[in-house]
Amino acid sequence: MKKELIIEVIVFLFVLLFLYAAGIKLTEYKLFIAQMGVSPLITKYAKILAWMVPSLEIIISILLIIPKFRALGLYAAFALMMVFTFYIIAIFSVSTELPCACGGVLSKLGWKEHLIFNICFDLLGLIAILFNNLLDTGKQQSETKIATA
Amino acid sequence: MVKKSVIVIVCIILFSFLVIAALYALSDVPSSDTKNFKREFGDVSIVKKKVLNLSGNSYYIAGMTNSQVFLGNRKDSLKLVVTDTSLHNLQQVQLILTQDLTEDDRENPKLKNSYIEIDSPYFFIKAGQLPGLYRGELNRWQTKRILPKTPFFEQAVPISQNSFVMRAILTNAESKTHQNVLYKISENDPEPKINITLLEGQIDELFSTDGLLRYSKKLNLLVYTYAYRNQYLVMDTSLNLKHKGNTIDQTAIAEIKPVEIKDRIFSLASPPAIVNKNTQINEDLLFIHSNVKATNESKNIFEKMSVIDVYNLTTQAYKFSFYIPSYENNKMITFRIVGNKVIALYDRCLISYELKFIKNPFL
Repeated sequence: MKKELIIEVIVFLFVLLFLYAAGIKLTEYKLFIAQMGVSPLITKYAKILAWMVPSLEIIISILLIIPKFRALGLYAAFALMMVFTFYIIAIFSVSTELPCACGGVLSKLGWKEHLIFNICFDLLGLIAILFNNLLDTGKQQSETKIATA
Repeated sequence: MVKKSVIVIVCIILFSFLVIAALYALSDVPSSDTKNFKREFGDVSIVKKKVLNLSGNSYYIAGMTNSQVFLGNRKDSLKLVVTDTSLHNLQQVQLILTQDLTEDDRENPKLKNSYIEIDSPYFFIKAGQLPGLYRGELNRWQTKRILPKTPFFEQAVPISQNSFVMRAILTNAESKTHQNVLYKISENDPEPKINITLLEGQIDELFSTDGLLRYSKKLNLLVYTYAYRNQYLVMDTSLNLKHKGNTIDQTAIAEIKPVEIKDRIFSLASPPAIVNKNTQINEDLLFIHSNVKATNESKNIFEKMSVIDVYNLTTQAYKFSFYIPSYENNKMITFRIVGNKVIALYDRCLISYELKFIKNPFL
């Protein structure tokens, strides 16, 4: 029971984070392109990322909400979060003066704080994946027990 | 079952790392691109004299005279650090603001964002966002407000004890477009005199005309060096254009992408290709810290050093170049030159160098 609750909370947090971030990026479209444009890592792809990143965030949120696709959604959320985290680490080595393109209140975080924030979500994603997997295993085992009983 | 998800997790982490690593490897900062020109080295050698460690990285160079170096501190706008040019005898000075400022004025954060500039025997406090200008005498340290009619400014250069030339942003009331302009203000002529034709835009009128304003006391001339193109302007103190000089690199058009990110708010859409990073004047020589590598320079060395190109302001001719080296993997941030003494500011230290001329730079 406890694991299910924890997974629900983590899923809720991810959906909240992704929908908020996607919402900001889509409403402040031009600002988002400009912010990415200044980053030497992704300036070439700024226009593509401007629609791709929020779309991914929304799709993953949908996957997380629909129970059938939740496991997939958790892996995808973790993957996206890891990409963001590695991006922050890469930017650290280029310059600490570049603007963050996450949008909204997240932009107000310093780069160090931002890294910690991301690592927290990475860990939450990891926990949710493992718990979800354990629950599935548990269900399969009890189903097997019932079948063989 | 858990084992399977652990494998997937590890694959995800690896994949994310590779994506970013690939982007990193393919990324480029448009700066040290080689353009087709050569530099002449060998006319001077630079010798390191002394390293002065600084407590923190919020210092900037407020000025340099024949005998002293002055440092301001962004975290304490009324504090001045004074040392002699051999970087000995460090002193801290607290500037005293004029008594006619109220307590509120003193605490005003816009005053905290002010810069000190030394113009012996005076010093000035430049608060462009207030806006306000204050002047005092070196070694007496009390200030008084001058030129009360000065509008907002981003750069200010004193050309005498009671006149300044500034760079500010002029906004067209109807079209709401912004452009950089130079204006002059003096005690005799307290209303700002703008010369709107001097800074010529390319692509736009704001970002493309970015640059640095400097003054040569010896020649009584002003120099504005564009940041993104290979040109500098030489003007007299009434803001009449005397010459347009060209720097040796070939960037004729600014490589920048200004965009409108919100209603009438503009920014740059990609990192700008900086051509002229910094510039200083000593007597009739213009020193430009260039960001563009020449064809006869090694990429490794260029990336470790800061190259300074020297131009003669009387003949507009390029004379020679030299490097200011990095220190403990940090590149020089800014510099000042008086005579053959070079003072360079790094992340947490100040270094004095001496230039030994092999050929006469005044020829």
